[in-house]
Amino acid sequence: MSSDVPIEIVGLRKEYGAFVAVNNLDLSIKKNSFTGFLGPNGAGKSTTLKILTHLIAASAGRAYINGVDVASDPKNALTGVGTVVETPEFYSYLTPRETLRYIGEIIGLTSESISSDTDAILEKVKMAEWADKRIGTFSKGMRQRIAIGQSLLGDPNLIILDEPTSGLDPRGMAETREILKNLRNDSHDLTVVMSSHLLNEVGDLCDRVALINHGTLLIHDDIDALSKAGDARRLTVKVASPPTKESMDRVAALDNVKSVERYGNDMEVHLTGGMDARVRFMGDLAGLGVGAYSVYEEDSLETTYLSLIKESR
Amino acid sequence: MMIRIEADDFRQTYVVAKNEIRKFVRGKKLAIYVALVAAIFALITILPYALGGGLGDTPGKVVSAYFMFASFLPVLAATLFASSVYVSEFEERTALILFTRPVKKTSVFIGKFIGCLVLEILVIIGFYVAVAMAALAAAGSIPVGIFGSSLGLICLYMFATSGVAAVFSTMMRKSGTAAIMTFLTILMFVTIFTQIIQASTGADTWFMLDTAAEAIVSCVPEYREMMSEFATVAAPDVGKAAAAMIGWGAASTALSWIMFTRKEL
Repeated sequence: MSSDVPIEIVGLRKEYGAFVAVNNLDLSIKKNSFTGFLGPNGAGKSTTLKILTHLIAASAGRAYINGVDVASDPKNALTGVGTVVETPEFYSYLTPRETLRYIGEIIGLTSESISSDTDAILEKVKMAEWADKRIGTFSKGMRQRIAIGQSLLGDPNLIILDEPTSGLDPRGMAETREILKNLRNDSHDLTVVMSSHLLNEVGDLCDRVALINHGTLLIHDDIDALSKAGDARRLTVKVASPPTKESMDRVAALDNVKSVERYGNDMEVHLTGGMDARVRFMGDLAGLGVGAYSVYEEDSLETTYLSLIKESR
Repeated sequence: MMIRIEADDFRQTYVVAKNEIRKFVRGKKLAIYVALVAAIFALITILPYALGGGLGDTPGKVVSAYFMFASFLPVLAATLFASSVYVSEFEERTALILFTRPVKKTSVFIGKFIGCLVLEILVIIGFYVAVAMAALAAAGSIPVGIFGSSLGLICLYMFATSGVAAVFSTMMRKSGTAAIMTFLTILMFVTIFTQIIQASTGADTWFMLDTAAEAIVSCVPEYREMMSEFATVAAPDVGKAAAAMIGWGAASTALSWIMFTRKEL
């Protein structure tokens, strides 16, 4: 079952007593996109994904997967969907191969399909070497790779990942991201929704971003558009000696400079305008004589993210 | 190319049941349970001879010696297996894998219950086969009718105790708590209720689980004769006992199913 809108969320609301975790959320996920579901801790990301995967029920509103209402027909809605919610655990008495067979049998794959798919998946998530060892002895990173592997079973057209690198050490995070990158590059008919609060991860993997806070959607757009959405770019200007009021005033007087603040021994400059403004700023700065020897631009996604989160408080 | 077959509810129930059996077969609990059952059998067999007596001169007397303790085995099985069957999915977070798949919670519930029950009954059948061998060796024959009644009753008792355990397994957050509650409820709380009902109303408590469980051994005529000198309450009727066990099993399983399907992560 497939649809032009793999995920559609309409007026979704989830209350825990007086606390509203998801507040009238509306969201449509574009087909074949890799969407980062961003938001700070407690923004309602996991709750939304749990409603989508039928782990919890919504207080109000509807969630559709491939056009099927998750609440009223979860079995059909979740057919053809791979999921990794939070950090799942596996049956410690099973090996990765047995785990994939169990899940494969549950989702209705034939024995032959499971056998042929298992080797390919274990290879893809770099667990082939451990295929016949019991999972009980595995590290968290290895378990997460199996978690992603099991989500690929049955050639899904939609994969829902809830903070797939959460709790992993740097190596585990890098390995998981590499698997996801390969997945993005190798798959043609695949939509991925991945919640995260790690901006670099989302920037690295996703082509679209949906940002939520307090259970409400703040923005949903292409990542490039979102990066340009902020009205000012934040530049860090490294200077040879600590900036003085006079040197900062001179920088502040340049075209397109919105503000200048001292940032340790450096200057933090907020610059409006596009590429032309940045080029002109670099030239002007060099001739200003303030001892600037390096300029780098802060992640624009982070700037936009922080700005939108701040506004939504 | 991926080939799918119909992921129907029955097939999924079977897959879950198969995995449940594998879980217990590979775990330590089954080994502990089998060792305990074997130890009980060995004690009942060896001790009378060690003390200078014997198991009895008729098949009925021989099997009575074993059936007197048999009703403890389903309680043990429910505590070890059924009490953890649902809670472990939540406690160990494996539910995050299973429940996000296109499978009805009812299929998962039934599959796990059946898997657990099948395993428990297989061990009990093993115990009864050993008892049959002992009767054959000590008294020369097997009382087939009595044997069938007792085995049927103990299987129903297994269903009832597993149902009670399933209630705690869906209600509790920790499998250890569910195991303790199962054990205490079946062995202590139910017995206290029965005693109070008998003492205050004098009514026949055939509908209580512990009274019904007595039928597992009281279906043996030799046992009833032996106990008639001491018993103040008549031995429970086999039919009523079976009905009580089915009632307890059905009610508790239905209650645990409702709680399981409503449980959220």
